[in-house]
Amino acid sequence: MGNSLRHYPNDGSPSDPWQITPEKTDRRDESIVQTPIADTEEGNSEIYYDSGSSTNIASLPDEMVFEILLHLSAEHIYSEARFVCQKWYDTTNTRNFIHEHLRRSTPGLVIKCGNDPMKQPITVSMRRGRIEISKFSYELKGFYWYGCDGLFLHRDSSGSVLYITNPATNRHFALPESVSSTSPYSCSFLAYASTSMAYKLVQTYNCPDKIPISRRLVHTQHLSTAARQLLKYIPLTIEGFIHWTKKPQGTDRVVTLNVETEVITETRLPVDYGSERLMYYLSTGASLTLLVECSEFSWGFWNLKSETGEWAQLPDIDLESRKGKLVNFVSENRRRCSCPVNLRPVGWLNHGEVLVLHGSRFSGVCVLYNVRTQAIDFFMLDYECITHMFDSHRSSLVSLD
Amino acid sequence: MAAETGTPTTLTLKSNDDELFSVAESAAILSVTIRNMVEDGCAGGVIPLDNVDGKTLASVITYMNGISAIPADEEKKKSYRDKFLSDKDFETLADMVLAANYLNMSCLMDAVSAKIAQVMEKKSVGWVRRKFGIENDYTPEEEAAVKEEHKWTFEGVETDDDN
Repeated sequence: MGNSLRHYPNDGSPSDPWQITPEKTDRRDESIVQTPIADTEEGNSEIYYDSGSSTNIASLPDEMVFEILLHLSAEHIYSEARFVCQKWYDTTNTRNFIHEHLRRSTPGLVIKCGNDPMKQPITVSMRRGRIEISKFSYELKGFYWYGCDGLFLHRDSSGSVLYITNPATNRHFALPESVSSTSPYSCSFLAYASTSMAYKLVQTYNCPDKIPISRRLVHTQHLSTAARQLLKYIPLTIEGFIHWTKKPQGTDRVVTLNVETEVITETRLPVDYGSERLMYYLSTGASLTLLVECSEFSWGFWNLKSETGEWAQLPDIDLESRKGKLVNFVSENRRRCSCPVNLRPVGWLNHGEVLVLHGSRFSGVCVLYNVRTQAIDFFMLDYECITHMFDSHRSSLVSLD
Repeated sequence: MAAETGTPTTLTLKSNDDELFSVAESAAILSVTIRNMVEDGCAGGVIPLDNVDGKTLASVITYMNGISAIPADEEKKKSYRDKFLSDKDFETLADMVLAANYLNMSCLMDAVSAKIAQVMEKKSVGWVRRKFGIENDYTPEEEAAVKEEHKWTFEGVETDDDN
């Protein structure tokens, strides 16, 4: 199977190549209703519904149209749905709609090529029970650096200009030079504060005397030295919280910035795992999870409540009994390299229901494990890439104009 | 769905075109609107549902009975909802959105909205307007500007001939 490209068909083509499981929806005989209820359409399969008669979508009250449009993808709303009529344009263009749409969107993954930062990232998401793999439909300027709730922060190829881009709407802007100027002592991240419905740009400085005076400061003196050390690393942004962890070998704490209140705290891990165990900090889109390697194919599983800093233990993820099947599958499907199969948790789909595990280095095989039903599935990343980097992603209509 | 204890309570619902329906209270209270009436003790006689016609109400009752017969298994409920909605046309879906809203049945509301969106998502603007009975209120100039604006959508999209 080829790497499917997301595109925006406007011809009602029956087979959308980006769907892995094709579904027939383009039939015009949808008016045949197989229920005991009398069908006022007289069973004529070719009748279009007359807009003048009884209920139709156009006559629905605004709040129901709002509700229906929320279920569409950001890409579809931006390129199609908002052009249906002015009411739809106005509805989808409100701050409230954009906020609600983001809140309800299903988080997926963005996958970038680790060895070639200029390569376009792809996204993997699960919608209506199916895996969708898509490529962004435009060229991202420079290289992808950091993503958060629908926006990407990236630098141009020279590395001097920092851009914010919404890949769903193809809108971007360059941050002012005072913000984007590179300093070996600073890093930039984005986070969405949902109560105030605002994105905030967060920069970490390693060198206090380099901090521009225009910045609002979050002091970190109350953190331990070990915690402050973590701020050097790339964090994970989840639902208005930025978590600094250290990957993949763990430390015994996580530093969390509440972007809404701008308070930074440190949280000790629930168990001291020492420095030997591999630890994977992954975002479900709603919370931070920690997977601690127990054996080659099993992991201890924890979930952090960001608001309270409490860790909750969840049942271990144990794939040892299915090891044979997994090893066979990955070995058969990878294109090159005969190095050992080494499953690595890389992210979550469907609100923490489906764990994505990367087959091994140098392979495009990804395993999907549903922690609820314990079903196993697979998908392939087929672009030529030596290493892949995985990050949480959701699509948003947020306007950058 | 047989009642284990004594006789099951049934409610009588009346549509706005005066059709009467008998439905088990346990299924009917999926509607928060009906549940409130039951709790307030005003569900003794015939419950008039002034905003729902007989055809739609029959369909909603089929759904109520179907979904309440499924024990607490979200997966099975989801597949029931999918199957239930799979053969519905747009008028029926639109009627059901209205009914689900009036009856305050959030799970049905959500499923029907998602179904409508799912069908729409693969269609062109023109198809949606035609099928949904929506009048194009953009002027030709605006329409042209709109097309110009979203031309980029089709630029840079790689062909997928090799798939």
